[in-house]
Amino acid sequence: MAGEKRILVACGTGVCTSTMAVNKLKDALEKRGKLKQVRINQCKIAEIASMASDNDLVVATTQVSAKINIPVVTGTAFLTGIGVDKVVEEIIDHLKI
Amino acid sequence: MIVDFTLLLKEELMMVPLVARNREDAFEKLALSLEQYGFVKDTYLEAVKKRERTFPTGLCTGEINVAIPHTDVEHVIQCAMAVGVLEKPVRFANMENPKVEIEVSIIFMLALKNAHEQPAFLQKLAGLFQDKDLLHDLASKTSTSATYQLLLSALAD
Repeated sequence: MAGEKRILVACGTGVCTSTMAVNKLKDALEKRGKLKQVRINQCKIAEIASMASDNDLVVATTQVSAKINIPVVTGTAFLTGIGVDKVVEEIIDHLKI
Repeated sequence: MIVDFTLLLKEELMMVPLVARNREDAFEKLALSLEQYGFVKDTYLEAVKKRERTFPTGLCTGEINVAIPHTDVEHVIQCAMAVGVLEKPVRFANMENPKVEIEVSIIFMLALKNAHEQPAFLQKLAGLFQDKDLLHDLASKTSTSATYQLLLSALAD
């Protein structure tokens, strides 16, 4: 879909916690009727710098030290369930969806 | 698709109670059991320790905190999970802010073989972290069989 926003979900290995976070993120966006407006990809933290230009926002489960020019949101809430709404609002605000 | 989580949960990989002086001591015990049963290579332990220093895995889930140490797939032979219910909590750095340390009571040491393997299992596991009553229940277990049975029913739901 043209104009959809792209979210990159990143973790240390690109295998474990990003996988855990993706579904919760999808559920939360679906609940707000926003899921169709985004596309979600996964990567390793180390790949963020090279993938940032193709995405609109990063959701990371670890700290991001790379300097990138798109917003970075901490996504551990999707693992612990604590503060999910706040993080989702932050994501929606950044993406203006 | 029907996913059989019982293939991933193994009673012989439950360490309850896990007596450990610190995080690395706990890693050694859990990784050794994964290695003994043939799930990981002998490079796994060092790789987990190293990764934990860069990307800590302590999760602040409320009262009973958990950690999910793991590492890159090349150190793994077959997908598995070792679980340690600590006799006394050990300190982990917090995943979202490595400068902050938290007391962790339950360790889920993951051995994942392929990228994006077992997404349903991982999502179930994350769901478990959000169930405070269940974490309390799990932390109070004193035998491997009780822990195994509880995890089996929690992940099968």
